Amino acid sequence: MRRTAKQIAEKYKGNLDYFRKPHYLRRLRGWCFALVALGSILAALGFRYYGRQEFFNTGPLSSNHAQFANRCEVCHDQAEPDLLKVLHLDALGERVHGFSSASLKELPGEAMRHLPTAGDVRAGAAALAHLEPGKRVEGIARKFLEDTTLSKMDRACITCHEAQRLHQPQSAALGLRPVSRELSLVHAAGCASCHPEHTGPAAMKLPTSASCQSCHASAPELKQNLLLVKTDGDAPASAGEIRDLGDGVRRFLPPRQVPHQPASFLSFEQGHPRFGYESPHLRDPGAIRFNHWRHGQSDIPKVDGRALDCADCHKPGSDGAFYQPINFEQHCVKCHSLHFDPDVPTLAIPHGDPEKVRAYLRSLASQYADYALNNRNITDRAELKLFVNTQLEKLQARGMNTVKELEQRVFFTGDPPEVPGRVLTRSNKAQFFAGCAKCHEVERAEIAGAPTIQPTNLADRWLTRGPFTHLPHAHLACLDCHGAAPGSKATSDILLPAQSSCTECHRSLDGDRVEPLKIVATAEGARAELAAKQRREGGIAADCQSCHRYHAPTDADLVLELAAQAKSLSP
Amino acid sequence: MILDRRHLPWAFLVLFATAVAALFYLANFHPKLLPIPFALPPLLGPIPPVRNTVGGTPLGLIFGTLAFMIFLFASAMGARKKRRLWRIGSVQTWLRAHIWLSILTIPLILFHSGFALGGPMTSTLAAVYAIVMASGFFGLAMQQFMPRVMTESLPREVVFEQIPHIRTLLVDFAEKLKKQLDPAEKPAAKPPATAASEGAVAVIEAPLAVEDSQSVILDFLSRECLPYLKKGRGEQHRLGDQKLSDDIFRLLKLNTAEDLHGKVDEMQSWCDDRRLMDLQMRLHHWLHGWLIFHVPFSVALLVLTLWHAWIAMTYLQS
Repeated sequence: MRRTAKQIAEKYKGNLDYFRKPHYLRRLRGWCFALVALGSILAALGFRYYGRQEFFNTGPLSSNHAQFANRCEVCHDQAEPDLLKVLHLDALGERVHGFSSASLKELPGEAMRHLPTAGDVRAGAAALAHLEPGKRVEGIARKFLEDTTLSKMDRACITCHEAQRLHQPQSAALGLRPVSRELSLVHAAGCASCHPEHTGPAAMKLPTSASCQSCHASAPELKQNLLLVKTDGDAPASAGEIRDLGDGVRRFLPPRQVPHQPASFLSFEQGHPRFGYESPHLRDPGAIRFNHWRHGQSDIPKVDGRALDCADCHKPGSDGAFYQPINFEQHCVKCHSLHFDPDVPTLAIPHGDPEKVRAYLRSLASQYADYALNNRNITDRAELKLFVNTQLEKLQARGMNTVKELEQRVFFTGDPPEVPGRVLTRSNKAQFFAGCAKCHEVERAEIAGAPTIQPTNLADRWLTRGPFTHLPHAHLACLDCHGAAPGSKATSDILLPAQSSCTECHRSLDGDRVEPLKIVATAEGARAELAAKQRREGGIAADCQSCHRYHAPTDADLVLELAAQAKSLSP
Repeated sequence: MILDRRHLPWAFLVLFATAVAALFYLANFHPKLLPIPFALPPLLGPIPPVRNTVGGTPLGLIFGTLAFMIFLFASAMGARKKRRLWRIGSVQTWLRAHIWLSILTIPLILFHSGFALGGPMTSTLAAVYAIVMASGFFGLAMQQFMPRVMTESLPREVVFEQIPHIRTLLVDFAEKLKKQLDPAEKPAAKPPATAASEGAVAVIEAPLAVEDSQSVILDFLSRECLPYLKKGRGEQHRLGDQKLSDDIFRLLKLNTAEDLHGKVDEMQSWCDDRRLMDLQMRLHHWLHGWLIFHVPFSVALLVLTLWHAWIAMTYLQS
């Protein structure tokens, strides 16, 4: 016999207030609730005594900063994980617990002074309260963005990393300050934007080009961040110039655009500005007459049994990084000798100083006498006089009757004098002596004295803003980069490679290759093959950091301060 | 709560909100993944984020704040259940919102965290969140079929909280019957003619005397029925098994006089009730036991989330 629920309920009378009595399941849930809730609150509040700040670490610190893993305040200056302190209950907590948390954490006093007070919070809230709702939201958002800029953390960074707070996009330009009226100096706010932390225990990775692109790929961003600092230096000439800035290196300085507006671009191969010397109106200011094309012609006499080659004149320095400056005695004299008398082959005009040349010509009789005495062993006075007179008469027969005429030939016209329009087959064949003006800019003295010869003004460095050297390019042929040289007829031609030429190799990888090529080839054929492969596939370093340094040199601060004192900062 | 057609609008709302959040997330943090260019207001922060984090950006904080607000709303469910008469929407609606908005926190939290666990604190928070969500999903799954199982298996479901009281009553009924049948409480009676004294039930041909039957029932009551009704976990007793129990009572009837079969039926009904209540308790534990984890860890989640928000903001602004 089965009973109905009603029958059961009838029997169970007397317990109708069951819901007032705590049921075991509810009791268990209540206990768990209380334990977990209380536990989590105690964990938050009691963290100051038992916890390590590392608990809040959002990711492993790099090995560079691993020693600060449990000292967040070193970088996060105003951070306060201690909720008791936030709730102003820390004194109570310390009384209860019996020791000071400050001694435990060793928080720096400077950091503590920046802690926002309750008054600050109220003031901030009051400032926003009177705004309309829409503007209030915008105000809060703006305040948040302002507060979460990295400038506060940057202060912590530069506590150790001194003088890294400025970014000079062309950092080498600071060295060029004497010839720059405007320098681009940008506050390098946001160290962590390029040097992110909490990303892994390995050493911090170097910034990538993506960091640079965050600004340099956006014209508005660039314009917003650009800070031009006016200096008291001279602006370089509009045509570009070559200057030694005191370190013994003569640099080509292209004219600077004023005001300077950096271009936005994506990468070295996509939109990177052309090199400074690439402007179509720029000319090599070198003051020497040199014709690369002429020196490559077949009628030019062979040197050491072979035709002239680039390497005959352009020789690498001892470290291979740069090439030696062209030097007359080393590179030119073999063909362009300074012997002016075919009968006396060892007698040569000195090179370099026109005053010395003039003095030499004016003491020509003595030079002949010395020659006779030392080279022909003529010791008799009469014989010596006869030899000297004979040589001078020969010169007179060639048209050099006076010293003035002699100087005219040596300094200007050569011997025999060059006839305008006459085609010379070779320098020393058509003329026995070519004359200084063949290669140099020679100006007549206005009153008396030696003519003035303009310095050759040849540049040692053309790429002044990047760490370019020839070493990693040793496997390339000269003409791979300087392809215009063989056809150049004027010294004013700038024969440096165009930026686009560099991007043939310095660009992202093509094809399946994932690793950049390493230069291992040594044999000539292998070098050419390697160069061709690099051109074909790219993959040679093209990141910004290969050529540019982000942080301004240490004296950038000084420039900024001087400029600020002069009230010449421009937005 | 059974998931039925009334949940469809909520499901669509969650899907729509997830799609919008995903669009914002991709536009702000992975714009290259979007097939079409989609720009967000500058107030949502620079792209890429300056701190190499997702949660600390304005958009990441919006995701986190939304999730936290949903946490607060979801935790208000307990209060809403206790104030059933408040005119702030039916409990059914609240429960639907509780379920679906909590599900919406999954994409919000993932977008807030940038699909990364972060450090120890955020990992702890994620673990607590996982416990809360897993227990919630378990409870939701239980609610889909457990009520049907209970309806089918429990012909006489009682109020769960009454079960201890009813069990006590059953024991009382049994004790009373025992007293009724106990010969010490009555005038002396002749011992039974057959040897069915050890509680074992034997088949006999002749009509049974009432006195003998009373002795058999008393013995059964003392040795089997009362221990079962008093036992904490009844399923471990042989009367806890339905089939075995039916056989035992059928044999008991064969060994007792027909006049006493009513008493046997009564004992059987007590045992049946006890067995059903044991089953109901087991099913009830499955249906509601997850709340032991879900509710406390929800509170822990709220506390830890507040702590996390405070810590994150204090580090973010320094």
